[in-house]
Amino acid sequence: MSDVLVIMPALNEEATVGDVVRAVLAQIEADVLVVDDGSQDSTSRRAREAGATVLSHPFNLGVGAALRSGFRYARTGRYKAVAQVDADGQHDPTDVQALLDRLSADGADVVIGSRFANGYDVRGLRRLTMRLLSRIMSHRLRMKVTDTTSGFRAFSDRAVEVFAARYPTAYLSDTVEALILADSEGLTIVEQPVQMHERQGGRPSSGSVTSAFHFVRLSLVLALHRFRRPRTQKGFGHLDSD
Amino acid sequence: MTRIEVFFLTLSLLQFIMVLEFVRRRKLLESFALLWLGVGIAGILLAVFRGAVDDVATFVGIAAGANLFLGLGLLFFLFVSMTLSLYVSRLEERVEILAEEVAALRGAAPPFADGDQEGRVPVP
Repeated sequence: MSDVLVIMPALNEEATVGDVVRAVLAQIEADVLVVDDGSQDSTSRRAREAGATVLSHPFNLGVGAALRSGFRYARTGRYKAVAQVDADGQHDPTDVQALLDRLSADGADVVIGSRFANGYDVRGLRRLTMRLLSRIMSHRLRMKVTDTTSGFRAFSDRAVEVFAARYPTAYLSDTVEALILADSEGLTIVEQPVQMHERQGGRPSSGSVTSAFHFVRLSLVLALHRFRRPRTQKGFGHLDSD
Repeated sequence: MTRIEVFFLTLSLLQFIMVLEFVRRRKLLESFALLWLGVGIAGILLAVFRGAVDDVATFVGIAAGANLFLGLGLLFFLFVSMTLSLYVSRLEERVEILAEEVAALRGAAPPFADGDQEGRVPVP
């Protein structure tokens, strides 16, 4: 058992998950946890064959819930550091170590792997939304954040402790609101440039109408955040062995 | 402002604040909150621009503004209850799957220490 856990949320990624797990295991000294978020294909089996531990959700709950399952696993296993990597091959396994290094080098709790520092770009409405989110979040976090929705991140054990109980799971909240939560809990956030590949399989997570709806929902969340009671997990605590 | 306008404005404002309070206490999913905040805003607008309802009714060829309001209101709540039925159906299906998963896990593992003889954990 290693001190580092790599969490890979996966939904119907049988084409890529095996190669990504093997690539990560070849690059760094870490345990790999694939959280199969209700896949209809052989994602779980491929991940296990490649050497990962697999948690399987009985139905699809979304990336945020998959991550929270991962954080719980990391808390129970007392991992010192956690990295979040996509199972579709978009993230370069050689960047994982760089993210993890920032945890110890900067004393950071959340390291965001930014896609935009190295020339990756998106177009149209998506670009506009990401720019806007970057402006809003840079203001809220009092630091420059270029890639607020990146799913390529590293977390300290302090961050895992907070997120295992209270990670927001809704679309967009799982990336953006999580940063607000981290900041209000006194966690340190830094950004690290990473490479971004074209996805090797799978499909984008959401259409434009859904995205627009969730953007409005996120605005409500951001506006109300400081007034709200913390999320509680009644009746869940006793299931986590610690 | 007439008395009825003040009454409806107060009612809508109260509803709006109530929804925000539910969100603050995390009693209501934000997605549902958006729906009911929308209803609150519509109520406030209707209270302030009551005359506009009659104008729209005349424009679309309905005799009285009240009919237009009630008709659209009925359609809206039909839509909402259908959406909720769909939502409940999905929850029901998930509860069944979860119960089956738990049954399978119980078959494989010893019962919880604080459960009764059948391994049931008291529901809080």
